[in-house]
Amino acid sequence: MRPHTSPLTRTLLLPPLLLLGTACGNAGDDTTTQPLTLNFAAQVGDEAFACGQTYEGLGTTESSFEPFDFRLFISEIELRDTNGQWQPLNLDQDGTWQHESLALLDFEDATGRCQNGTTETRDIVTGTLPEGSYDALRFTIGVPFELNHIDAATAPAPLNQSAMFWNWLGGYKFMRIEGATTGLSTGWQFHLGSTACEPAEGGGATSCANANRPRIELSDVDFDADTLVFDLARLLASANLDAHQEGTPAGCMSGPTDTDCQPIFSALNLPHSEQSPEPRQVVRIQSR
Amino acid sequence: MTHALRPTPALLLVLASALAAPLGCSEATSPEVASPPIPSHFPAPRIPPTNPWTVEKAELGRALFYDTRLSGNGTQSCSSCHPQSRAFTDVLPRAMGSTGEEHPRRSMTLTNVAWNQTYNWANPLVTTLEQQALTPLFGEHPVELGLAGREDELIARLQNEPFYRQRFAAAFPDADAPITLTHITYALASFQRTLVSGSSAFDRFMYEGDTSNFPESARRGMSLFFSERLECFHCHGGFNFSDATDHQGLTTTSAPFHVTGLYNIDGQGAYPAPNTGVHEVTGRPEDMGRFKAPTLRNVAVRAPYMHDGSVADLDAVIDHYAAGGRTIPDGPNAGVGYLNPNLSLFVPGFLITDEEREDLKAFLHSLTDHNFLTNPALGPPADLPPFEPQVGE
Repeated sequence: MRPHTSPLTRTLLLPPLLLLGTACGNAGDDTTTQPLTLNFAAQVGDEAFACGQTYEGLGTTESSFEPFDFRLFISEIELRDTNGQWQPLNLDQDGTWQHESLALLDFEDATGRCQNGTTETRDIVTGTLPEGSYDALRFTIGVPFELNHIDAATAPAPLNQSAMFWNWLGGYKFMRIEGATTGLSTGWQFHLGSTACEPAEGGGATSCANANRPRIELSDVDFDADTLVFDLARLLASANLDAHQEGTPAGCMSGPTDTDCQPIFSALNLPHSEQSPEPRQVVRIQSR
Repeated sequence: MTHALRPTPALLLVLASALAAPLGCSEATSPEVASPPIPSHFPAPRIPPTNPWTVEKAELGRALFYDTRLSGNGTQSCSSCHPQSRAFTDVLPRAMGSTGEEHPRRSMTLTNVAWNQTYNWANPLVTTLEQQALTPLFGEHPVELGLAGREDELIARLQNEPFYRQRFAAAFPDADAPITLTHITYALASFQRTLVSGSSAFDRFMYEGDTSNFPESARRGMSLFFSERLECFHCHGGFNFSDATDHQGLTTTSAPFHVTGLYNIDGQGAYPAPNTGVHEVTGRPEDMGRFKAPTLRNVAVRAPYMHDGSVADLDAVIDHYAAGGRTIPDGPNAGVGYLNPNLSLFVPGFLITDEEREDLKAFLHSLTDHNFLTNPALGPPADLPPFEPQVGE
């Protein structure tokens, strides 16, 4: 339903709009902005991540790993300028990969055993921020709370990709990594998302006891020359990919009592099973 | 001194909007709001204003409900786990998804789903049928219809059928491209709002005074059911025999879930994972073992019972409640249900004679609505185009 505007109301509404002057940029702010592209990549140790490959030596049992999937949402991206001020990266609202402060990264191309994925991939985030020089970056892995509990069926891209729906827990998967391992040949899965959400009246959630949104911070980044690498080998270094706790999924679906989650959460600096996290450098800087 | 009415912008806006309605309205009269067929002794269900009910949407939803195009590998439709002859619940104790994965829980009956407050066995987060549809379509743990990541394929399958192009256009006349995921969920929800069961022998006795299929035994059973001795009606009360019922006249919201003592595996009230009830969703210890009381309409054709299909028949259900909670003597789920510390106060246990038991069962059987189980209007449309998944699709 389009709101109906009669010619008369349009005429009346026009004068106030003219008072606003130019409607772009921050009102009363003369800072010029610059475009910026962040380059991301997925690797397993030193090897590039690709569907159809098999990787050796992952986790505590040095398991093999043949990928089915690797996608994640990142959000709330900020860069630090040389004065030490954090500036938000205003994402290009491209209608496909980016919405508000949220961007989808997609390292699978539907080949090999990633057949349930999408042929399209995405390893960049594009946006603008005030002109200046920047040397550090921080971002969230996950969907911001206010977007996480909207109606998935009517959500805009990239929140309309059903592979990232997590309807059962009233939100989205923040990150999905899946593959066949030596001991779990039919598939091992890691799905990160918020759990223990309080129902809101009329649907959605008011809050989640376990937000499960890791924050990543990287300094000494040369944004013109560096790639930000998600390293599966580091993420899974303390996990056993060949077995799983009985009565829980093969892998980790963010279950608060699933002990298989603990080593992976720990690497992401998330608490789990009353253990203090021991973060690993899951994302690292690599010059192109 | 009289004040002239100066044409301030605000006043002009008021005038303009008053004029805008008649000027901009293409229809002389607004169409009557359609409603699914509802028995006169039922209150009106709450329907989301974003998805007003129409016959066209319901008919489209009916086709989709019976169509195996709605599963990734083309082997299942919604009706696979919700067949009409069983009051739209499963023949299996636990559901089996399209890829052969066993669901940890039993499919739920779709009897009178339009009046549910929440969907699923114990999920306070899912409050509309539109929202609920996403779980079987796209859920991955377990895989049900198995469409996660394949929504484009689903849309293409429907787009390729003149049958659906026509029906989506009729159901969503204002949409430029009517075949969307949102509209699929809207249509499925609209069809499910027609799954109305209110003409059982009990209804005919209660509302029409027709005693022909309501024997003395059922009458005695009804008194037992509504007695403070058995307490059944506390959780299974009202026109839909469920306290988790919603309708337009309700001015309060609640989402009741109860612990019936089906399990107590650690003496502290634990239920076997993953079926820990509301706790599975909220993570709150106090939600352990809390499940919704489903409607008891058509209960006699819905065996086996409970969220995990672990209670074989109506006798076993009565045994469980008579004991005030089930005792499992050995095995991984061993425990004494009546000692569950979270037990609902409406599961106090009771003594029941053999004759009373037969009476109670006669009453429960009187809630079967044979028309609901056989009415072709709720079955598959005769002109549903057959589906063979394309190799390599």
